[in-house]
Amino acid sequence: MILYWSLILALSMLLYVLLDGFDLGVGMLFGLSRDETRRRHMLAAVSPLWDGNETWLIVAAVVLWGAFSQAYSLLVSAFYVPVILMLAGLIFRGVAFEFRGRARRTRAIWNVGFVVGSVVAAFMQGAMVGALAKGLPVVNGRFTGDVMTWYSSFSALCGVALCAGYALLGASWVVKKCEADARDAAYRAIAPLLLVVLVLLIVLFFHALHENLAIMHRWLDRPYLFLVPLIALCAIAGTLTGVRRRRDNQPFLMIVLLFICAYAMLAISFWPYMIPFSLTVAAAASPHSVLAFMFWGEGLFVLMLIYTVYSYHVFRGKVDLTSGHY
Amino acid sequence: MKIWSVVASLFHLQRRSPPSKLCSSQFLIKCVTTSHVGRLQALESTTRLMRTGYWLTDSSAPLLKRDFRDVAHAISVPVLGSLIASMTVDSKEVGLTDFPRSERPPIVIPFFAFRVMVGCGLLMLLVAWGGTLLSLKERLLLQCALLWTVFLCFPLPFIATLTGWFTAEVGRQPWTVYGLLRTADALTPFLTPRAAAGSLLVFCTTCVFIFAFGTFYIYRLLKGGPAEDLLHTPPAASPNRPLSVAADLPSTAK
Repeated sequence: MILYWSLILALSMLLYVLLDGFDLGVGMLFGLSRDETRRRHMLAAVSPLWDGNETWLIVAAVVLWGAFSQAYSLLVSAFYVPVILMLAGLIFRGVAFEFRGRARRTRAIWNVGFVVGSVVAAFMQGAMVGALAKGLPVVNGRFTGDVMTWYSSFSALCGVALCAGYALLGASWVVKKCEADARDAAYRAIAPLLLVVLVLLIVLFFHALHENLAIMHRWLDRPYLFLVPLIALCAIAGTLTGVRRRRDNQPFLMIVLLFICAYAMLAISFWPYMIPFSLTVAAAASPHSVLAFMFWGEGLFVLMLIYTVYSYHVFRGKVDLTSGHY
Repeated sequence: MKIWSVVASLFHLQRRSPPSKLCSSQFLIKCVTTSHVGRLQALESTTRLMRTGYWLTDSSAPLLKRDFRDVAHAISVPVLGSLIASMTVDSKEVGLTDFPRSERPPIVIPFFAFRVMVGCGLLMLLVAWGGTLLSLKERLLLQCALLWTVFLCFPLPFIATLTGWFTAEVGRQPWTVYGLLRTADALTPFLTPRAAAGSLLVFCTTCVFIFAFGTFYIYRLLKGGPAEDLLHTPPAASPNRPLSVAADLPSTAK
């Protein structure tokens, strides 16, 4: 039962990162473009899907809350500030979708709200993962740091790296969904963004080596982990050929593969810990009766999967500006 | 009163008229959930006592006491309170004095918040039914008074949501998890007052900023007045996105 719930949690978090990742990324790229038609294309590429994507954050949080309440209480306490800021960012960008089309003189506010909200949300998510990888001070299952323990140069760098990663994912989504000008601009953005992400990852790697983070020993213990970067390299090559040959679907799929690699790498190096080196998945899990009771709630999970697949099916293909209300 | 509105809503749902259907069905759901929750909880939650204002324990509990301290002078509908809570006519309503003082929530906020919420609900229901009646007579767009009422009613759903939230959250104090975890014990141990105040500030600023602009945009939408094509809302319009209505109409040019 514990393994089952860990899989559910891992899957919903992965889905959140992939799905909301691209629309947060589009939010950031939105800030880099000045052209109104291009901006409207970018908005139209995510507007029918973004709120469904964010539902996966709620699913992940609820699974964490119900099935791994120990980890939930620890994480939400430790990440009090970043969680609040992330939610404020998500609120602003969500509202910007609705208000931007209504606004006339005030449109600039919602352009800024959309971009800043996306950047803040992405940065905070990256910083939280970074703080987790670095390790949180925990004694007897209780967090012993203060409200700013999450912040360090390492976690900030992780935040920046995730922003760049999401922007990369967003660019490949725009390539997949848009035509003409917006697509060409996104094609041009992919290679530089990929470079930025790789440089940041290398910097992070050496930073972790330098600080001698405990998580690095995992790599020496588990040499099969080095298979993952190999797959990632293939994904990078696939992205670049997709860009060169102008195959609109290929970059997105390859970057999704890249994200799955990064995610798997983190997950494997954390396992069996949920919060590295202080709380294992088994210790964090709620009593068996709770997990068994919650099992029936999983119909909702399946329903959401079906709903997600269906909505992506409805909105497949390139966007059409004439039918949008945004 | 509530039961009456349940019956009326049921009747109304069958008539299937779109604008008022939503309002009445939400009201219906509220009533049904109130009674369901009432039945599920072994010990009556103090929240419900608070908002109905029961001060002393009373069998065959009446509904709608006007004054929460002076039961003798209260105007009440007999039996219905008991009926809504447990679907029987003689269930015992536990009064607030059955709880020691330390277990009682603050009394004034939920008492008034609940009434404001119900008032907003009834007012919206009234407007919706009135509008339906007039639309059947095909005089909807000719009634200036009705249009003004609808125009002035636009903050009501928001006020009802907020006051409902106050009722639930203040009314369940001093518990976070009823009977198990007190709010005082649920607090993050290392949380400084500064961090808490900071997060409250972020939250309030976000809310005020967004709702101020939201009110402004809705006001402008309404000020544009009814468009020709009012009865055929665009296909993308949904109740979750009120601003999506009339997005393409000429009166609200972008």
